[in-house]
Amino acid sequence: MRILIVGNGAAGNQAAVSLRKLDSSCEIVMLAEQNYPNYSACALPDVLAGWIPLKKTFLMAEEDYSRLNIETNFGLEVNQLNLTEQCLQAGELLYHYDRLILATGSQPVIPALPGSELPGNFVVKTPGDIEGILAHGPQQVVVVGAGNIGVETASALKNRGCKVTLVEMQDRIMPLLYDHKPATIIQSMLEEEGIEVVTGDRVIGISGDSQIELIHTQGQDINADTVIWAAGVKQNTHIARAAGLSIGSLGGIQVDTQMQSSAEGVFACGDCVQSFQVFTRKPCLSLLWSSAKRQAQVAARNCLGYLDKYEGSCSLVIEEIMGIPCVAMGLNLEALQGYEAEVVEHHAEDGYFRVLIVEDKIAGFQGVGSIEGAGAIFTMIKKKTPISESKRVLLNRGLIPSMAWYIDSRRYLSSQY
Amino acid sequence: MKDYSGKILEIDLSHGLIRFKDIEPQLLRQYLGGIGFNARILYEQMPAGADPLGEDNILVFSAGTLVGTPFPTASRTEASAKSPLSGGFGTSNSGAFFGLQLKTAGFDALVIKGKSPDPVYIAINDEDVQILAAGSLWGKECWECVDYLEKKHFGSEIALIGHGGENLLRFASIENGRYDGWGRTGLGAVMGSKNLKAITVKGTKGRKAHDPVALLKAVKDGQQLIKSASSYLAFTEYGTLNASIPYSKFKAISAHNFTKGTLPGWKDIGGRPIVDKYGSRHVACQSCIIACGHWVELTEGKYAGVKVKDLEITPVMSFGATVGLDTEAIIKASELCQRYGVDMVSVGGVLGFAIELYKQGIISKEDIGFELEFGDDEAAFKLLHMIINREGIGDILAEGTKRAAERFAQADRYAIQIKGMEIPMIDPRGRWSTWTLGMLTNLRGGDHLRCRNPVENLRFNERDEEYSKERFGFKQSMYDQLDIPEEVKRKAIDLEQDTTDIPEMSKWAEDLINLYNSVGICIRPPVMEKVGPTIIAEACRAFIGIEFTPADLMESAERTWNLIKLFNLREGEKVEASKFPRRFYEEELDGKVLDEAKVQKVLEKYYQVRGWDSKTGRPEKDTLKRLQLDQLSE
Amino acid sequence: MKRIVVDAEVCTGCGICQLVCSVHKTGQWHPALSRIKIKQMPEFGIKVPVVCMQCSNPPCAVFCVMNLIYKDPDTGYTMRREDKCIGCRACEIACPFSAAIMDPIREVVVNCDLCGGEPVCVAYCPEGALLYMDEAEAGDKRRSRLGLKSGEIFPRGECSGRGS
Repeated sequence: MRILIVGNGAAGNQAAVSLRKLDSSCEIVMLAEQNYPNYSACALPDVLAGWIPLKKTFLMAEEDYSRLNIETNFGLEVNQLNLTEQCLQAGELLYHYDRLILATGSQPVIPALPGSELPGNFVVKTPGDIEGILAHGPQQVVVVGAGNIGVETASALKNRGCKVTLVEMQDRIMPLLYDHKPATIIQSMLEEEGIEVVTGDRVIGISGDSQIELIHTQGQDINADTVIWAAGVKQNTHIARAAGLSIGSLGGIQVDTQMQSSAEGVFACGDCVQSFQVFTRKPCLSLLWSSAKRQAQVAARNCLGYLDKYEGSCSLVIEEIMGIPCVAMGLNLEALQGYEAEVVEHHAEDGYFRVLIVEDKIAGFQGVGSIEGAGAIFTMIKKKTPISESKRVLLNRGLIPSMAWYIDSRRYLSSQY
Repeated sequence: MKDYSGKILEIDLSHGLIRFKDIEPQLLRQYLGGIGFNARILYEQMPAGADPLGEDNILVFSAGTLVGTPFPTASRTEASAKSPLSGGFGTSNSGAFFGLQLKTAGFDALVIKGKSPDPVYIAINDEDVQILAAGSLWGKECWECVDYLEKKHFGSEIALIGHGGENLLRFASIENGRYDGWGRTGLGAVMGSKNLKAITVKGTKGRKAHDPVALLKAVKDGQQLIKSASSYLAFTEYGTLNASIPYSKFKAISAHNFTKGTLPGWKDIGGRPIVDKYGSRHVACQSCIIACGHWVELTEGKYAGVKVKDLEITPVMSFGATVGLDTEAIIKASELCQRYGVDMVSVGGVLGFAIELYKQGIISKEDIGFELEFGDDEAAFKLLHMIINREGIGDILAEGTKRAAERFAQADRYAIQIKGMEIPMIDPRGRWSTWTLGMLTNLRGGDHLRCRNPVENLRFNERDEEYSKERFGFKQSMYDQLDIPEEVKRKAIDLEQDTTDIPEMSKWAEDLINLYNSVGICIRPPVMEKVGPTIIAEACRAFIGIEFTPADLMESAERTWNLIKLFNLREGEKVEASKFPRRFYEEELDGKVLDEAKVQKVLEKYYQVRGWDSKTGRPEKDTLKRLQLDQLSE
Repeated sequence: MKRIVVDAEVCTGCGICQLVCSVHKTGQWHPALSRIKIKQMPEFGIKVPVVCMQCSNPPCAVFCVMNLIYKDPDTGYTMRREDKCIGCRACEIACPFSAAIMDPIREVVVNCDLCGGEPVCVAYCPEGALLYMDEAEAGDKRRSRLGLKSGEIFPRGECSGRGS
């Protein structure tokens, strides 16, 4: 069997490795526009901060691919997918497949604003972006978008000695992950670190002749020589779209729970797909490394005929700010609109955390500070374990030893038990 | 030694000062840790004649040298201060996990001085030490506080006082988490007098071992030694209750305030069968391979719902024998003591004393408000609550039997105490041994835990004419295995006569236990039988990198013992105070009574063995010089 | 595949496993660095050691952004290329058992590697609460012990203790 994988991000590489683990004989061919072997995008801010060298972000070398007998064709633009012929066209070349896995990923967006074409406009996505930023030698930086990438990048550049301003359109930082109160706590930690945080404002233009000089937001003008755009991504779905695969309401490739697209034998995984959230079961775009890898595992297994189902996306994002871990998992209140969510808050000596409970199940968790034992909560979110069930176990001497992992949840749910 | 990371944490509550002090190599070498540190710190830093409940008293917690390693039973922390009960060196030893946290936070000892103007608690999180307002915690019982503090200071171990300490009961204890405690000598009142409700400790650092491989080997050897002890299996299953039935057979338990010697049906009230009936899980302290504690949950009956780590001989004797309660009431009583933070032994003694006063007509129903009788749990608990809250007659009883006896005519005969400390569990009339002489020589007063023959055969009970021998009761192989230097062994044990010399063995036993309390290991019989200074020296060398000989360690223990004696003498201890209550000399128990003159002679012999003046009980100059205490004592 | 199996009923909570693990792996007595952790329910008197369960599809591996967690093809153990770890702690939270441990000194997260087939914690456990054996075999052992404990076969008082 010949399996083609398009894309060499987290999903593409995971799919290749999973396939090889399950089947030592199938032919695996990877095609990708990016000319990098497997690297960790999540580790790029650490490079920017100077904590680790760029080469450490590479997770596989070329010999690893040959050792696994995976054919790689990187730096190759795929033009067209022909579903009936079961082939991909890349320039002059045609690649036939028996099964196809699309892992085309996503692309950070630089909006078309005056000045956004000037040198000094960057995104943080590839090792090349990092090299570009470092070569540019930023002094005064505006980071646009305070999602997790934005926050990590801002923190990293601060560590490098830059003057950093973080601009967020919404009324709080990391609006997709945190509620107001924890977001405010984290914001004050960033400010303590020396990062200027501006919320509820947006960049409307950039001025400068041959280089960036001034950033204009709705509220103010900020001196800067560099702009990092972390304000959203776009799914790379043009091949799928052109081939007539169905595209979901949120703009990702529509897949079923086995990660199969609308065409049989064509699977998709990673940032380019539209999957569903584990708690609400509603469609969602999960742009996380872990979701991409899990989806790729599912796609690879189903590709080879082993049945596996995707459980749904559940986010888990950890930032370390000034050495203090900040964790968000599952959904926040905004994402739970329409549900009646109970907020259980706890302010301990070693941190702040809140648990969002909907109908006896944990829908989300946000914490700043010591995260000992948070794994139990994450598992309860992922498995949708009713709190009444964990309570039943914890009140039953006989059951505890065999289900000891519930014990950790007491730290966060003591008011429920 | 160079990289020894331990520090002494000193907190002055009067001024809110927090200091970290290095441990001088000399202190470590001479006093090891645990009780050794405590003795030195108290002797040096507490002004003579300080009021035990005043600002000048100093409360010290020191974890033993080996605490923080997996050396078997190395978990113990010694707490000391001048005792409000005896007026002498107040000290108590507790296991569980407090010592490990203190050590991993980077401290060997915690010294608390002064007195806070308002109720506070101390939160230690590695070097981050805070004195925080106790607020509404003051006035709460221990378990509620533990619940609260465990949430607030996640992962911390907690030492705290309950109502007992807050109300300055002279026998208040400091509780160590929920189920353990520094019970004896009234340290809880000292903590209460300092307005200190609790100490939380969390350590996240480690201790480097000088020679990890050798230490792991010492640990393995130690485990094997203890497992080879003759009493090991019995102790893993029944814990300290093993001694309960033999002593009842000897008619030597503290039944009904030391009037009966045994009780009908004792086997089922306080013997090993109660472990089978009520005990479930075995519970260990840090690094312990014996796990003598039992988890107990009462599911039915009057006290259904009580959950404690229990079935230890102390509450069983104290409430079962002295007060005459049944097993479930004993379990409830120990729960009450843990919740309110009072010493079980003294509480039992005080209750037994009060009941006997009532029965003798010295106090009446009007004084108390209800009737008292041995075995009446409801009355006993009512009285216990009055004592804890210092209501009515409880206010007098809260001072301990010795002081309370002074308030009533003809009452002192019923106060079963030595130097103010209520005597626990065993009656020396019923069985005379190293253990019972140890109550007289004990530096903290009427207590059984500082002198025990490392090998005691509970099948025998013979008292010789001179009161100076007890039956050895073992074969040559046991004699050969004992880790006692040959010259001491020859003096202490006579294999041909099959006897142990009580004064000689007392000195060895006291020093050995003092060594245990310095290095932080436990005195359970399987340990005492097998773990001697040789393996401890090896473990200490591997851990802290100081080369000790076994003789060095024993000398250090002896030094500490003498220093504590000097402390007591400085605080006004009289030689006449080392005397059993009159009852033991005057009232027959099962036809037996103690001969005061003979006891006195054995005691004098013991003083000689110790190198003390046989009449005054003061350490001789030569002894102090040999122990390098001569300069300190001048 | 052999792994460390916990017989929680006989664990006394002595914590020796934590200390020997830390010294064997780091040369320090450092419970926080131990790869085996004791979880406790003080109000039930329960302490349970928890150690990496050697999951077949470990969630820690899925959540690792550096792809450094892998199943050893020969032994089946969950292993880490620790030099690649950037200390992001995602695996720590992804693990339901919190069996991945942050080593604050090296700033990497570690898990139990079964000491290459001779786990020290098992060797030093005085109670036989930690067993190194096949999961199926462990199940049999546990069942037979429960049979004993019910008191039908041997009255408890006649059992010769737990240890030795």
